[in-house]
Amino acid sequence: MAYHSTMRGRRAKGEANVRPLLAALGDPTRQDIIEQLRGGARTVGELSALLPVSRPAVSQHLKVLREAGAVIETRQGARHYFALDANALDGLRGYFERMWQEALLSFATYVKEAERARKSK
Amino acid sequence: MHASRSEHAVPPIEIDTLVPCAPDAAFDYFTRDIGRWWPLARYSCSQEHAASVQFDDGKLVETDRDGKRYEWGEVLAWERGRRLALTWHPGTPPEDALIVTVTFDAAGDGTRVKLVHSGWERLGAKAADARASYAGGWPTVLGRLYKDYCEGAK
Repeated sequence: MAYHSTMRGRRAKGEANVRPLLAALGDPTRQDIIEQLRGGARTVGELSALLPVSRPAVSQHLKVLREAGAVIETRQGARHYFALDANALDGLRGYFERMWQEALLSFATYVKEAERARKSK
Repeated sequence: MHASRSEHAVPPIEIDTLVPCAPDAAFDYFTRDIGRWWPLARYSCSQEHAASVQFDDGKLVETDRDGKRYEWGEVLAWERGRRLALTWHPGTPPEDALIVTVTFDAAGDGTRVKLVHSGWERLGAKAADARASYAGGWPTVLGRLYKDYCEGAK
């Protein structure tokens, strides 16, 4: 589920915002790049050869993915490799964890009120 | 340079709470009344347009003000006062669903309600390509499960 706008100010220090990640992955070409990177790290040139996308376009998509925390860039000599950032899943898990915490808190409050109302009848 | 973290490094989410009623009642409050306590404005597909969420014909379904339905999951187990299990795939096809299990255990005068959100490793297992194993399951989670995630919320 996407972040509600009111969530932005509520993020605790150190928490990842998953919204840019979900937004970045909403693009079909970036999904193709992700699929390619599942097989291992690639350079811009390799990705451009594997996909029907120009090198500048691949670079632009990789920039978006990197800024969203989906992809990490490393250098081996003169070559720049791009790989999936496994920590991104942790960010998503953290998002769900907060969701369940809030949901169960809301549930417990509801039960307390419902039981109080039932007993006072 | 490859990340060494595997999908097994992503443990289930486990959260519990204590509520002041018997397990059967807790189960009913959780299921029958989910639309009365779920933080819908914050956690839903249609967000401010969300009208309701309810269990309907074996599924958990959100409905927005225009009547559009968003299926969140399918009920796998419905044992009143004991256990509820469902798949979790808001807004998307069910093929890569995660699993949510809620158990209800008597604790003194109340009920311990424990929720486990698991299946992350199952998503990883779907990546049959052995070379991809280092990346864990997240490309599947993000790239497919969330591909069209809650379109209305974009």
